[in-house]
Amino acid sequence: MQEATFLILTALAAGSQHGYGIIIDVQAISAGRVELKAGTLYAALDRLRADKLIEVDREEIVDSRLRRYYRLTPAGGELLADEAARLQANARVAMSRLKPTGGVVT
Amino acid sequence: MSDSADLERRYRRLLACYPRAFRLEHEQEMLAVLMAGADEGQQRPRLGESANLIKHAVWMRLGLSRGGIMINERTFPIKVDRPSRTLMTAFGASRKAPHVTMSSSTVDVRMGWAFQATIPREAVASARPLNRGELRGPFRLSVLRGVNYWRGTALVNGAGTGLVEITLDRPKWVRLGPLRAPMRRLIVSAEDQSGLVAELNPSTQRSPGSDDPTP
Repeated sequence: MQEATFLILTALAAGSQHGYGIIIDVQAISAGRVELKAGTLYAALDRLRADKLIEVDREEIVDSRLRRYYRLTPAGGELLADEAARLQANARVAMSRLKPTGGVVT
Repeated sequence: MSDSADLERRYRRLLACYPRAFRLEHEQEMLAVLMAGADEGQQRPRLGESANLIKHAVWMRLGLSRGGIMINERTFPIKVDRPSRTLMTAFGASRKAPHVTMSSSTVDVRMGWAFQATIPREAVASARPLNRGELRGPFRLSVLRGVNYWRGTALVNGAGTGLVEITLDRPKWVRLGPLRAPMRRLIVSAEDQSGLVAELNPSTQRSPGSDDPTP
């Protein structure tokens, strides 16, 4: 799973969000490192929806514009949990191997 | 014409590059997102934003970027012989034909209400054709059909042939009727045994693009 996909699923793990909300949340989660563009976001959302990892929660009209809220499906939650566990395990190994050198790679 | 209307018209022109079905589904909400992200007084789409929209639109048209409307997933029906089909119908497990569906990120296995699993593709360690004689323990019973589970292995089959063994690199929770159980190995009967093995084998998996964050 690529990082932006992981971040989109992470954003939705806190609750349903609309497209612009996801962009803002992903930016916050990644400390400003990842700025999703609309084309990238909707390609990912469309694919995640086709894979049944997310689903439409509700739609609202705000200032005459459509807001569609997405939420994680149980399968999406499980996939995110699996990926988070995998990343955590990798990070743990990396940190334990860096310890003998005081965290400095020579 | 106001700055806002001018910008919206230009965004609409860019979104017209997408396939029609995608536009029907997403154009309005994408437009809302693009307009929400625009600066005060902005008249034209930013260069990077335009390039990003055109790139994804072209990829989608070429089928390189799969959306819900250009499904690149493959479905492999689970092989079911005639007596098993009758039994499964009687138990209500065949409302939708049992199948294994492969997408770019997941392997989805369904046999009605009796079995449901969504497995990340990267969790698939190996897949191989399996002969009936290789089955161990209670799975050696040749009459077994439907969903059977023993020591982390699920046998999901509607026939005794076309078996494919899928080994995971870690246990994955799956649904066995109303229960959940950890599964490390899955054996399914596939109508296209060699096709399913080829699609599942990690060495034949499509590697994701380096700059495209789709799953």
